[in-house]
Amino acid sequence: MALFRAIKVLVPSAIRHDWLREWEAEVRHRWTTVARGREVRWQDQADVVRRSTGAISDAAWLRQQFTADHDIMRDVHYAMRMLSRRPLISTLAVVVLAIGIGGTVAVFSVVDTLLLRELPYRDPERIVTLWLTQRDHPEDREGVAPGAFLDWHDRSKSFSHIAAASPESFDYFDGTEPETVIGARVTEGFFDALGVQPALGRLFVPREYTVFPSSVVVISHGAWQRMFAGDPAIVGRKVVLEGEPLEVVGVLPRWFHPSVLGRLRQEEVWVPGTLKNPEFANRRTRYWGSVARLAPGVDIDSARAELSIISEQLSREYPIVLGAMTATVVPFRDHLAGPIRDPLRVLLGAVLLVLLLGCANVASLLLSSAAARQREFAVRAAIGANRWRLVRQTLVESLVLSMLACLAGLAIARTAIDAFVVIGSTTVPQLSELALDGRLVVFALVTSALTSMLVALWPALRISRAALRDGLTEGSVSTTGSRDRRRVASALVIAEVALALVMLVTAGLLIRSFATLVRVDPGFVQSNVAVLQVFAYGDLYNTDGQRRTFVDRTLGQMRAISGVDKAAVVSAMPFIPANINIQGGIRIEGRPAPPEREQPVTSLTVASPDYFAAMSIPVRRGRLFTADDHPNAPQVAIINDLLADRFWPGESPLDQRITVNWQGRWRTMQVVGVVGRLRHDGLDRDPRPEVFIPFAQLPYGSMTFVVRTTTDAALLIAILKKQIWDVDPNLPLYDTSTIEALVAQSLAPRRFITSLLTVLAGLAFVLATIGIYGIVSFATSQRTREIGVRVAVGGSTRDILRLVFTEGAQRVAVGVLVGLAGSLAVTRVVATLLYQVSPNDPLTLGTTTALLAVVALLACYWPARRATRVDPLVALRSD
Amino acid sequence: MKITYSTTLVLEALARGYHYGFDIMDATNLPSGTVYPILRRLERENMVTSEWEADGVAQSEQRPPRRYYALTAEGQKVFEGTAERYRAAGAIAPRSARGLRPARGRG
Repeated sequence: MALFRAIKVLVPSAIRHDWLREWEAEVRHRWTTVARGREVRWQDQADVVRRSTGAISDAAWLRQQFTADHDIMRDVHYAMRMLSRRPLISTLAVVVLAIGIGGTVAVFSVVDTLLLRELPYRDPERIVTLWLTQRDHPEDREGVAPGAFLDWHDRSKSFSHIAAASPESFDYFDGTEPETVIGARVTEGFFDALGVQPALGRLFVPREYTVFPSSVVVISHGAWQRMFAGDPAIVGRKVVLEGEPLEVVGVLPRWFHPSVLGRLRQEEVWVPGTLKNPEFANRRTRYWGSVARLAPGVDIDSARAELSIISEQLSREYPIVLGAMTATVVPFRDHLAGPIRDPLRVLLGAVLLVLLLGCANVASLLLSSAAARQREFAVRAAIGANRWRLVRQTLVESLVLSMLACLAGLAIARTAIDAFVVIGSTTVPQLSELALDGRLVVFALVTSALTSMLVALWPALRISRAALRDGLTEGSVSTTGSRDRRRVASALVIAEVALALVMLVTAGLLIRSFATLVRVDPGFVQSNVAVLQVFAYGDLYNTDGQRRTFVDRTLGQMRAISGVDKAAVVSAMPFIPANINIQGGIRIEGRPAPPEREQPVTSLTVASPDYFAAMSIPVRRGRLFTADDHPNAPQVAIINDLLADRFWPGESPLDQRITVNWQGRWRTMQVVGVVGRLRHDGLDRDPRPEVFIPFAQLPYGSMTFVVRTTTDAALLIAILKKQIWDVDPNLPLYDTSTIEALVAQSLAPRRFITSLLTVLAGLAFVLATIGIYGIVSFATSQRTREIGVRVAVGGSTRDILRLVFTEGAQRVAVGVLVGLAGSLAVTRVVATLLYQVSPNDPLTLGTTTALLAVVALLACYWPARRATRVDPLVALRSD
Repeated sequence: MKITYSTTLVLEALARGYHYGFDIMDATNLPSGTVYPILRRLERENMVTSEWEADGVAQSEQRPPRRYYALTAEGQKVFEGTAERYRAAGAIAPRSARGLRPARGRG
């Protein structure tokens, strides 16, 4: 008997009691029979025991049957049948949830990669990047001036390692086309600060940081693959960079692309740099990157405090160049996530909103279809299904739905992630690592499971309660509808309206902002301009004459090509990633020189005569450069109207003489013209004051060829490249593009987030409309009988319309109010993404609210309209 | 449901008037781990019904009531069909109960 009691746990609980009784009865009966009137033989005892063991296989069989028949599998089977019986509703639900789940997974993959996943660097949370910023604009990070870095390096105690990286590009010729290899010269401690070990070979030893020029190089995994085809014997090989043979001492791991200089630089080689570099006297030009590791026991706040004290000292010591500057400490992770950090949060919020809307819709779908199945549930309750059983059935149905949606969602996520990689990695290189991996699949499954709970729990509980309470009472379904159900319907309508409104307002603001931005005049005409950036340095370009000859010959060749309208060179090319912004002090002759710390500064740009025509920059006053402004002619300058307005408000600056500090040397020039101002760094950035100097009078080496074409500029780039190589076959082209592409690239992150949010908002809008329509139709259909009665006792069409419509309209109104309140809270978050649009922009708020309200009211009106056609006879007879 | 040889033996035992689990084991000479699952399956397929034995007998023997199994019309039909086949193949022959008298009626 003890045996039976032990194994009865195997038997499904519903029949456990009977099972035990049956076995006990059989064994006892047998015992009594064999014992009757005589002594029990041991064979009989053994027989009874042997038979009793059969209870084990019996119990096991019952358990297996129960699991197969009664448990979840049966529910799943049943759920599939129910879902396929309502294909339209099921498909709709799956699609809605799939979009929500897919979007959530895709955006989460980016969040995961950029914000959550452990960085491969050692103790990554202790790595910080250091920047110089204007005290008034700490968010506008600029590079670090070498001198300022040296001061931080010498004075700070917060860091165990602090290192700088200066941008370098190396000419490299592999036998086909000369190219530029991007790299950095790094000071001692750079790799320690980042906490990285080489994948092959070694990093630099301290002695190598003191030798200049260096003879060793560390290369990236990518460079190893690309330039050396992954040669396993790479360590010790020589690579000729800038004409110098350098020994490759190490290869970095594949994941290493720290981007401490600029996020878009794909660095491939690193050379050691010495701290005795003469550049360390330079505290003005901010083009270095700096990375540091917090010393043990130091947190980021105390590091910030220390650097801020050092910055104040430096401001006093170097008031001209560092007077307005301070040091900003940015955690490495934030630096890597870069400009899409904030958009990402908004995006994640948006997909979650869409997912919620999807849930609301599917919940209402299930609710209405479940109401239609009330009879079924009631029957099942009547034949003994308990409440949990009914709830479980509904849950399993929604689980099946959401698992189907999960599969479809993963497919959507995959597509979206591929798109993110293509679009996003130009903005944030780390995005190239995005992939749909196990973590994301688990995330998708969890999201789906939670979704299904969210979707089903309410309807499930409601239905089962109703089924148990109302039983089979005829007509219980179609009376006025329980107050309960109306509450659910109200809540759903309000939620849908509110969520959709928040999305619409957010997207509306971003669209307005983007539209404002693309209408911003950059100061030049974008179409049909090709740009080719070169750095003409080295033996062939030692003298002014050599550089002048190179540029003149190349421009001559370019002008000879059909399709070329104007060809020119300029040092500071707007929108090009390696924008050369040379700044220097400016003085105006005849005016008292201001005290040194108030010395005004301007951008200085070298340009050839046709530059202004090639860019279609308008002339405001005076003349442009001509061939007559040759090296021996009087020194001349053109200024932009921003500078003119600042120094000569209401007067003509023509013929005024100005003196500017060009890289340490003062040059005096006569102003001969005024041109329009240009935006250099982005449409959302302010134009800068600019002084143009003729190339002939200042032949500079870092130049960009600017060519206006009469046809599609992109098609001419290959031919234009050839003209440069005709003159110097060994000169690498640093960057080639069209100005349209450059401007588009600068807008890419905004375009990306705006279009994504617009799609999501559109989705939210459609979902909400369908949802509201569905809920109101359902609620109305539930009141068919009531409406029938009203019509029968003489209610007019107007009354019915008012009855149904007013209820819907009230809910929509509440939803709009909730949504507006939500929008005001949410748009604060997107404020950083907006350009010249207030987060509370009344036009956007008004338009989107009106749009949503009108459509939502229509979605209420339609079912109301249908309700007026209820035939009282049919309505009352239906039960 | 697939009617195996063992199932046929159980059906036959029921048809011949053996109505309790252990008695069917005796009649078929099958182990209890085979007989019970067969009974459960037959019951699920409506070929067999079961009821509890009346309380009186059980009380007199100071044990719980036994479970009484009986063929339904459906079960009878299936049995006749399959028994025909097996008998033709010589697989089942009339088998005498080994010293145990078949239970009669409902206890």
